[in-house]
Amino acid sequence: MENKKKTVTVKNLTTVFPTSRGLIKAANEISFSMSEGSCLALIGESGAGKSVTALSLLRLVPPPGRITGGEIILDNQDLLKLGSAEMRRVRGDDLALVFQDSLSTFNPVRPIGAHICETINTHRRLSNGEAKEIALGKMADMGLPAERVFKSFPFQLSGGMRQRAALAMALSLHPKLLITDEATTSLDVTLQAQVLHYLKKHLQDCCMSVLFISHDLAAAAAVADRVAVIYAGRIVESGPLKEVFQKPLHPYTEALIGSHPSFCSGTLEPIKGSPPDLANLSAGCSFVSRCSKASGICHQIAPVLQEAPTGHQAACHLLIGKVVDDGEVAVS
Amino acid sequence: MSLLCGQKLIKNYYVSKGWWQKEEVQAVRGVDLDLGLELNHLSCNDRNNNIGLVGESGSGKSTLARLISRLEKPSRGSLHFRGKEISNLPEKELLFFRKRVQIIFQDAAASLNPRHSVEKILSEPVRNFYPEFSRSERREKIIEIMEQVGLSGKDYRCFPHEFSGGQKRRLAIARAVIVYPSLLICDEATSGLDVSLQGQLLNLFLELGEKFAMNYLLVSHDLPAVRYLCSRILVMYAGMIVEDFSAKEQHSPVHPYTRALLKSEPSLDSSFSPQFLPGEPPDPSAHPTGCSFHPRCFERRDICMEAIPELKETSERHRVACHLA
Repeated sequence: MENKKKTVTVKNLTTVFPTSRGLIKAANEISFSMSEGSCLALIGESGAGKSVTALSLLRLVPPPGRITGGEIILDNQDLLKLGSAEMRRVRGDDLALVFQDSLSTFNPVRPIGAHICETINTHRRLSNGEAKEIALGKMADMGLPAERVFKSFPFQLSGGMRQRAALAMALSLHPKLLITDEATTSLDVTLQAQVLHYLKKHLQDCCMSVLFISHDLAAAAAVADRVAVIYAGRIVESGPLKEVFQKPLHPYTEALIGSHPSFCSGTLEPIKGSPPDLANLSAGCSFVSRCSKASGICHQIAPVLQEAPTGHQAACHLLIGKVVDDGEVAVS
Repeated sequence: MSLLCGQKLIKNYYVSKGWWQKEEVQAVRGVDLDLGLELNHLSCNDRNNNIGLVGESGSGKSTLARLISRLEKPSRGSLHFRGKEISNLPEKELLFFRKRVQIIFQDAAASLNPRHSVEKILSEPVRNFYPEFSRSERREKIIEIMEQVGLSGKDYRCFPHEFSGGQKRRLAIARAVIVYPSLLICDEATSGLDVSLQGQLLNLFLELGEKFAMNYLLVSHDLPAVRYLCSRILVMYAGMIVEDFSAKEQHSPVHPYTRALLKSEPSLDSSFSPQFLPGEPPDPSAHPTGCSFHPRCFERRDICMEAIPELKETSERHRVACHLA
């Protein structure tokens, strides 16, 4: 995995929203990188900054929100330095986004096929016939009855089919990075399994990266190979899926897993309290008020991401102690 | 005597299809169910009598929940509450039933009147069922119940918008349990929430169930939550119950649909198997002949296309509607 080419590198991405109560840092120094053919799951509660991160990558943050710093490097070019016309060329072609609500993704008075062909025609000089062929091929890849869906209107399809059609549209131009923002959240388990199956299949067939944004740990476990856990706008833990889910280093990740009914046996131990107010963050760790292991230092200094020997990073003051206890080498 | 028992419940809706045309949509197509034995209030213990109702969207599970809570009258069939037929009783005579069976909905925010204070919202059921209470007694009771569902009793003058999403759900729960029902029907009450919030609510359900000797009918498509809270699981498909099995005794499900449903649920330990159900749930206005699951079933035989399988008991506390069982 390490030898593969990096498709996307995000460094210290910060997005802020000025409000009457002060500046809200919805994404705070987000950094991650993804290689070809990999899938990173971005997990967090609502309000943690998952969707803002997705919109920031496409530079679609709704005003008054703005990106104040960082780098988004896709193919050796920094997306934050591009002009708006150049950025439009990147969106849909190299970067694609699938939203949670597939009904509002599509224009209700146009058939599905017209949407996909429009995307293709905007970016490629192709005849209508060729565009239709690509669209039909992609829809067939997603397991849809292509000819019928091409002519259907969005309301004529079920939620699962519509979501797969949205996925086909996003994939129609072979994007280098596909972002799925809660794309399976509102679906039934059976339909979710269908969408995840096709997403995973496509991921293996094509050399693209997927940023899978979800609050559903189980769905993330089904497709991702790496996980980043986001809390109050910061990535608090990231690493390979198995490592993070089996040996979580950050107390928040641990608590998140403990509160999921399918991962825990016996009584659930949900996290107490609710996420912090982003306009009013304390100086220390943002998880401190809900953390059962917090000590003095946690209230004063915000922890930074530290590397653990397993290739696994976490932002927690207790990490140093924990790694030493396990009999392994401490932080590098 | 069973608490709540429905026989051959059927609910049809009529959808207009242009001029003069009406299409019949069969939402619930003949459900027999028996919601547990009447409980001795002292011996009721935690999850032993909670029932989960699972199925895909459009399978009729919410309609069934609305029928057995008598929010809607069944088109045909009978519903008995402690042996008394209630399916056709007028609303005024249903008060005794409402006191014992309450329902909460998925969208808690929408079920609370935004212009009523918490005190007003919660005093409505108390006025209905305990008319002898004085104003101060009512307030005492409201504060007590708010504290029991994990809200601060001091907030009784607040309005719903001043609460967070999780607190609104707790408020909706408080309004339902303030009359100490024996059965609380939760229609997707934990869906669409963050895991931590969902966990908090599930634990609250368990705690309240124990405290008030109350059982749940959890209507959900979230299998892990149902398995956590319930001992018996009913699986619905296309308006019918296809399987009724015990979650605790590890009865392995028999119906092909139930097995597919369990297999399509992603889990952490096994690498996700690509086996998922092909096709789509059936159109409720045109159910397939025979077993409604046959177009998607891997094991179908000729008989499946002709005869509707009956829900029959295969072993103790296990009922299946499949020709192959």
